[in-house]
Amino acid sequence: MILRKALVLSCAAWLLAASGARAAGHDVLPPGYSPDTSSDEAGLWMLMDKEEAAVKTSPNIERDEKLNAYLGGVICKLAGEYCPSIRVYVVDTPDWNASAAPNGMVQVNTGLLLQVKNEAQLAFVLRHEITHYVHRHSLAKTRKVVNTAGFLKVFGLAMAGVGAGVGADPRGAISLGNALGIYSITAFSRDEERDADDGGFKRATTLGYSPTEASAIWEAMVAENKADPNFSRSAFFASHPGEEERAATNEKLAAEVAPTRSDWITNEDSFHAATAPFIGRWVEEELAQAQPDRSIVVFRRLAASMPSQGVYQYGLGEAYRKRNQTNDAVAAENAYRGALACADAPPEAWRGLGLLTMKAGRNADAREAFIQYRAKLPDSADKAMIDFYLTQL
Amino acid sequence: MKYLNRLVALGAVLLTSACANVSLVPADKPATVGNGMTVMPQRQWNQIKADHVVWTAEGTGVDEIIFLTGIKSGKPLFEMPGMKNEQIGIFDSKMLPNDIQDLVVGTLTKMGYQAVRPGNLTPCPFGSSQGFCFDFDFSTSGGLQMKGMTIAHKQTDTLDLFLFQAPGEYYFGALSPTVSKVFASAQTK
Repeated sequence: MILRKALVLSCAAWLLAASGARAAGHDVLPPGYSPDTSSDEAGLWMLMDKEEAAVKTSPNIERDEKLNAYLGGVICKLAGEYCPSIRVYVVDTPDWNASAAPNGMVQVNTGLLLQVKNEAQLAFVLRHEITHYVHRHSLAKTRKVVNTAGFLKVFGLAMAGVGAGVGADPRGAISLGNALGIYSITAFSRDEERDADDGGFKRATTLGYSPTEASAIWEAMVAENKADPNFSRSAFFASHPGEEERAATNEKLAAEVAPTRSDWITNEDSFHAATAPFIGRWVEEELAQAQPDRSIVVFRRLAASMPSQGVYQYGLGEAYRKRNQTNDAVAAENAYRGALACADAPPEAWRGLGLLTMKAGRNADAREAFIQYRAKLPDSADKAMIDFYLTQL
Repeated sequence: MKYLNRLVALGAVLLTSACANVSLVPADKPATVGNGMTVMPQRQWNQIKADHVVWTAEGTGVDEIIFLTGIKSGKPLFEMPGMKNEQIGIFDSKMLPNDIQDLVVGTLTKMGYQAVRPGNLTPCPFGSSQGFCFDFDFSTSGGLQMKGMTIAHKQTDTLDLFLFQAPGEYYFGALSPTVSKVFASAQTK
């Protein structure tokens, strides 16, 4: 998603370079604002509008009315007077992220909704993104890179991929050249990120969201990055405030603000009411990333913070079983049994337990687990396979 | 950075494809697809021979049958430049069909396929051996809805897996009956 947005930005940068950039005039977006049609900003918005048209028809958009109404309400509250200018899209992808485009398009990934514990945690992230929009960071960044000679070299690479289709994957993935250009123009500066953090914190706490929730998502990101063998902080991203810094800053701000009132809200119940129908699918999508080290960190945290919800312990069991390292079988079995002890135990935990014990040669346990799974989920998509396993035990 | 890794991998795959040999597979003769296995093509196919045999009717950007044969324990389904095998996901001879289904889903996801969802895992014959089949669907980064189906079997220490994918609209429905016959015609050594 970031890449697609960035691709559009790279085209916008080309337009600006071709026509000559003008001074911004405003640092902060006036509510209800539309750029003058002759301005460079209008060019940027136009390209974002085209991107938004593609997003609207994408099969990867979650269109559930209740979920969208809930998130729209949260974002509207956070955006305040900017609410009428913002459109929200829930993107069905386990990459946990959110973004706000210069034209008011806000995208919230389902991976983020899986990872946050309550509405307050979500609010701090969303208001951070809205601050990027309100403070026109994309426009400032685009103008800056257009005026940077070094950018043009990178930009040339990006446009080679766009214009001639060099290296373009026939299914829609974009080329390495594009990626290099994109990474060079999309991320905000260290100061812009701090500004967005600051704006997000102030607005969310003004609305009563508990300040102690602000650092949670950054702390989670630190833990997941440490567990991800693929993660490395590039030279480019190294110029931005790290998650550790963000977590520490938010903790410090929270310590200052928390004593000022006692009626802080997290809205955990309304958040879970809106997201509960989708959590099972989002858990499977996280597991489908085939990054069990990372998934273990994710589900260990979620299971610890919401121990009564069996779906997270099921996810933890699956992640351990799929990683399959020393002692993982024991950890997986413990997690499955923890899930099965919950009132909302996912039937798939029985299947996981069956697969685990079958591979361990514990045929009686496997048989019992598969029978339970078949009884609780008689129409499962793998019922024929499970029945076949039962004939082998 | 993981996006960058994917793009590097995709770029390398495309470069490899550009150098690959393309030949015509006749409809009426058994065709060798690797690891001593043959199938009956049922119709003419364009064959692209790179690290593994790939057939396509309309072009590799549209439909593909990928014959992954003789995959040894400890190896991934596809090698991806810039990624360690463990990062891609490796086959283990102790895997059950559910595990191999997960391996396929994880590998396709690492290749950049979006929202890969498997279904209908079921035992099915693979030549004269016991194998298993499953379907899957996914979407491309460009938003195209794709469908796929897989047949596989495990020998003592190796995996043979045939994978077909095509756009859900028209192409999958048009080609899948023929592909099912291709899969059903597999003869193991």
